[in-house]
Amino acid sequence: MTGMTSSQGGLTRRSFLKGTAVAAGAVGLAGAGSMISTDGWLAPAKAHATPEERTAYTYHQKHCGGCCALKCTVRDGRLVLVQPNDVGEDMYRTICLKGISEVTHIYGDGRVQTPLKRVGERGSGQFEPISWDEALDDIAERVKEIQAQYGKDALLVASCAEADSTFLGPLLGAQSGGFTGIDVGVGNGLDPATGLGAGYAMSAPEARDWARSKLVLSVGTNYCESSLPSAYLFVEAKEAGAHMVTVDPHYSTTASKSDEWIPIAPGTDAALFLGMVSHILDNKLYDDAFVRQHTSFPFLVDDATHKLLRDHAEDPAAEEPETGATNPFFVMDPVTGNPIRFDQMTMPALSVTEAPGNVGAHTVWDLMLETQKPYTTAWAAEITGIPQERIEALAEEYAEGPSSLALGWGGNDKMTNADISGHAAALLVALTGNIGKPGAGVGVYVGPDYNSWLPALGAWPVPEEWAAADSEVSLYDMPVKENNCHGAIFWGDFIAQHVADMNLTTQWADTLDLIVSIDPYFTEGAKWSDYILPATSRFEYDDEIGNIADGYSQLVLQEKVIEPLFEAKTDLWITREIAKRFGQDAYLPKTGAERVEAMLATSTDPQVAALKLDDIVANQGVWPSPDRSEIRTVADDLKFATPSERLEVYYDNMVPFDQALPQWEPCEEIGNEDLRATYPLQLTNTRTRFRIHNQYNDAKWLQLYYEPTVVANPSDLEARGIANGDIVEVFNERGSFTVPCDANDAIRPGSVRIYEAGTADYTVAGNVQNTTNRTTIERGYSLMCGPVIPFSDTLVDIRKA
Amino acid sequence: MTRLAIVISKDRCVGCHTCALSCKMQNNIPEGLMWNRVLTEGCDVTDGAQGTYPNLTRTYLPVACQHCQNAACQRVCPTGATYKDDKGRVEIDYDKCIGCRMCMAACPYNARVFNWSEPERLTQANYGDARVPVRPKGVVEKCTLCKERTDDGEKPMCVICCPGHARFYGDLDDPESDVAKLVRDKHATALLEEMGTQPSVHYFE
Ligand code: SF4
Ligand code: SF4
Repeated sequence: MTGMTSSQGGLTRRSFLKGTAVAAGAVGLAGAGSMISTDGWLAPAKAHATPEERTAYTYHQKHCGGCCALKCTVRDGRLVLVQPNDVGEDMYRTICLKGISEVTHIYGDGRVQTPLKRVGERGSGQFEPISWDEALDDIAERVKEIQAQYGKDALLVASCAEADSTFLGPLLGAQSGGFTGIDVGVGNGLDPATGLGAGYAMSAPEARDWARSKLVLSVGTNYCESSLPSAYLFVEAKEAGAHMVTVDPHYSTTASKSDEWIPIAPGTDAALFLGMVSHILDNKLYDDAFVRQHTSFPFLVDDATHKLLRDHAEDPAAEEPETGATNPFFVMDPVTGNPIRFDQMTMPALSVTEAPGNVGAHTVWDLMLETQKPYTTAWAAEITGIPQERIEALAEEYAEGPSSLALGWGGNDKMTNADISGHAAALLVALTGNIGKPGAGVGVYVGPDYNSWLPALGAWPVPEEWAAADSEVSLYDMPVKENNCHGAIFWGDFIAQHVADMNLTTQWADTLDLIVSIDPYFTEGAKWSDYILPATSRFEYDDEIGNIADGYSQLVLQEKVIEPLFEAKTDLWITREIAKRFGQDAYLPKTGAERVEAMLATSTDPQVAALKLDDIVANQGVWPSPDRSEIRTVADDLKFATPSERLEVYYDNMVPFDQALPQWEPCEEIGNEDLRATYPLQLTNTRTRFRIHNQYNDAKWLQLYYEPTVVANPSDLEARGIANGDIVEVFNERGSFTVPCDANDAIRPGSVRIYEAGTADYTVAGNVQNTTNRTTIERGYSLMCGPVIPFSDTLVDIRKA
Repeated sequence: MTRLAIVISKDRCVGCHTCALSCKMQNNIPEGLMWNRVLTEGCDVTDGAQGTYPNLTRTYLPVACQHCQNAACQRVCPTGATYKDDKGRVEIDYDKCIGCRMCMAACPYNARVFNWSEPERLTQANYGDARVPVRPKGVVEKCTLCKERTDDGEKPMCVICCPGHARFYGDLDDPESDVAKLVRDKHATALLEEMGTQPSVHYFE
């Protein structure tokens, strides 16, 4: 225990307050200081002889996947304690440090206290307070002008996951910004095969299933931080005997909790998977019956068109793809050599060579054997930096199963070749049948609530005319592509969060006629806004009941914990006030309770529809899902949500890009050796337990542990004459930012890491996004969710500032 | 006898600091002070690692008052402000504390902190459990094993909030308790055992 020595021979008071000195100088809300200071609002509480104390229940963040049910203590009108809601079994009593930090965070000086109107240049952060009525009147008038001049879709209404904002976009007929570009990298490649996951690779069972796995292979996911409220499931699986293996360029928290960490070169997950596929094929480790019966490997592909043989050509204008029943695929009868409907043959030929004759087609299997030829394990070792024998042993262990393949959103997902890694993972699953049985699954396991038993909630009925407009150009392409967006209302920090290459983004933002930011906190994007509207936090409401949500295998109610702070208003109130100015407010719920009752009553689940709000209130704001004692699994019947109900590994729509089967392609920027000569370091920007994207940047209790810091391997720092703790500039041709640096052996040499969403008010200077790569690849627009923004496919260098 | 204790699984601890902040909240701990901190062994950066890439290890070590049976702090306290109570907890009588800080120098675990100035809170108001006494300037404070909660039969706040399910609470003197079993079956050890302080807090791999 070398770190535990001090002058007194005891445990050191290690520098856990490190970095706060730096931040004190850097943090400031330029120009807005006087409007957002807590002075005056937070006069010391009056000393009551017997303070009035009560308990209320709400839920916390949707965005982290925790949606923890919280029990809140309020004393003299203030939130003083936040703890797990103690109704239900232990595993549902979750919380993390971010939930606890709210006790001071919601009162922090990061809050926007009154509506603000811009007085300086965009980006200067100069605002003056304005009344709600004035702000809302101005905004409504300008929205009307913009929509009258350019059409309804000239207004963009975009919302982050945290806001209660569903009504506004449709009621104004605004566009919503199209593809998100975030968290869809791996899912774009994986999900067409399973039909699950919605493009976000959310096809995994509950993480509780890991305890039934022999191997849990985590690749590009840092579960023990990203899924913090259920981090214990990771170690419990290990204790139950699962072999926990984590592949990550860096020694992440999850890597350090695993039985084994396998370091990998960044952006090469696809090469690892392709090498494993080859080893499984070469050594016949695949599940032959599964492959023939539950995958598209036996399907015939037309030699001329390279498309799957179907009964008839699909109508390109059709809204839904035809099913295998209405437009069958074909396999080959191994005896006659004739093509036959796939649903009429239980054991079809895997290869056309199994039967005589020439049908002018090959099976997907035949094609894969061909395309896999270059992807030997020796080749994969070269690309990934993982020893060949380790890749081979891993392939053998994975094939044996039952294995869980845990993928993530924070690693290779944020690089241009992410879809190929997802697609290659689909091959692994399809070959080995590691899906649809206990202890086997694939996808993102992060977020206890995402993968849990989610009771079906209905919705507040809105008029049919309320419909969002199409987004011809997605938000992240607006800075570089001609489009019809002239004004934007943002719930959350879109300008700094959802688009790479900040300098381009802000140039574009400055061309808009109107930007409105609605958020409890003053964000980076708010600086580019014309109006900033203060929203309430999850703890404040203007009515006894706020909303209801799907939590971790339960419904959770948002009760009013405290009155709205400052001049903040609820999202529903703000929506209603804007609607009023468009004559539409009569269609909105008058109260939160009225809305919740409608959401229950309109549920497709009769048990939910029968629920009474009062009953949920009586149970501390929680309705447990009746199924939750069982581990939630996926595709138990091995019927997948694809047209053929099989794992479909051959992607017709990728034929023009030579990616019908996954083909290796290096990352656009970090694979560029010429550029590496100038900017030799990959900048990875990942998630952390200390933030949810940019949320909590201003939470003082979390700043005790982390403020934007670039972390590098000591060898890379030494080579540049940089010492641990120095302030460094991180730069490339797109821009730069300046932050303190940590020397940490956990970081792979040749890479540097910063947690994402380091916005300029919290760095020494500049925004992390000043440097990030915004390249969208051509095939991206044909992928399920559009191109992913390759934030971590970024090369930089660093120098002492 | 009763000997209340926390037993911590180092393997389960994911270094998230939730215990530390839940403690700060529950006990109305002012800015600049912490009763509970999560160290990373051998590292002076957040989430550091020991060794050279790729041969690395990392061990998180949550540390607060170890509630020693042979407490170094208690032995040096000139006023008897620091005492061991009937449940085996080391506690401080704030009225008797004269702020000499002898106990801080004696504690090998650096578990104690001192109110050098008027306590400052971010919200300019008290937070936490109303049962917890507010400490004035000039006294020493530290983990009480959530005295106010454990007196009422509740678990300490850090235990109920720990996302790693790494913290266990109970009576070491009750052989049937979870903590007694863990110490026995998992061969749990105490920090700096060689100092003879006989901590109640134990750790296991
Ligand atoms: S941030 Fe997420 S995990 Fe943490 S308390 Fe809130 S909902 Fe739970
Ligand atoms: S809360 Fe639990 S997992 Fe987190 S640091 Fe503390 S002991 Fe470790």
